[in-house]
Amino acid sequence: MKKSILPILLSIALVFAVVGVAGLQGQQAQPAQTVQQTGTRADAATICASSATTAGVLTFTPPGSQYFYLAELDVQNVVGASAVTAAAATTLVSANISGTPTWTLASGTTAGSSTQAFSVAYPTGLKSISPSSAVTITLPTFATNQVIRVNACGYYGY
Amino acid sequence: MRAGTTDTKMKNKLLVILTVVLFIVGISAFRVRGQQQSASAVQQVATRTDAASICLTSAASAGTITWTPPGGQFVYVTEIDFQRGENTTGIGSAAAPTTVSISNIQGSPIWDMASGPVTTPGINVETFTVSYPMGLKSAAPGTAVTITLPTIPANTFTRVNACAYYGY
Repeated sequence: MKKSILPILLSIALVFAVVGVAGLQGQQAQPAQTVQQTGTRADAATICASSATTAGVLTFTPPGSQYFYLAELDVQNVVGASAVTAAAATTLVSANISGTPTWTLASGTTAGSSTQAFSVAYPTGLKSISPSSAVTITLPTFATNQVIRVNACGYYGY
Repeated sequence: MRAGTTDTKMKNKLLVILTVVLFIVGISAFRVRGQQQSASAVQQVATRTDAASICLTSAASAGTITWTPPGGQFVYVTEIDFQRGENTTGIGSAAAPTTVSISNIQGSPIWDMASGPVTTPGINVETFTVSYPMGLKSAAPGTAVTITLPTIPANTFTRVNACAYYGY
């Protein structure tokens, strides 16, 4: 009985040791992983749109069945050379984005002043709802002497 | 006969010892592997190839900020910040906003800067930052990206900082 068990146990032990040591070596031999292996980012913003037109529209139309990923949007709401007569706030509205983000803008008053300047960044992108459908961002109608600039950048992807 | 039995016993003892040793080696190896796996870091190396590595600044009237990528690489802009204000005297009269522009970016973003209200020296007029967490990639490789400041009215200042990195 002893004679028949010992070789089996020896074989198992041998396999156990070989597998264990080999795995350890494999682990040590693995190269350190970099966060990003190349300098190319497929998710970098590659397309921007800009408008400073009253009731202007920024439009991103994805090709094929792709989505638009909004990466950043910024707004400068300023008063020109003459004063603005104070008025109700207006809105900047997005379309084809879930929940319809809307940004509220004050009219401003004092000539030459900046009423609002802000930026919104989406670190992992803000994906459109429907593929192959345009994402639009619509500026409000400006008050007299008010200037609103809107920039937005993103990329197309699946 | 007795010598043969002794040899067999010796062999068996050696085999038992060898078996035990191999088990110990195997167990030790698996334990070390487990320890190494549990100690794995969130980030295994400290190098990020997508970190901004080149910043530029200008506060010059009609000044420019220029990145010139090597070879066939692109510029990835990660951040731009703007500060505009009035100096000791303040602006003489309010004017239409001026613009900061950028080249070699598809869609050509433009940023508007208010002139500042009249007779208000020392004030901040407009300060904001735009950031591109995943980078804003230039349109053409191997071509410079340039940010151009506006003509700065007398008694006011405009500062623009921007950071980027080069990549494929």
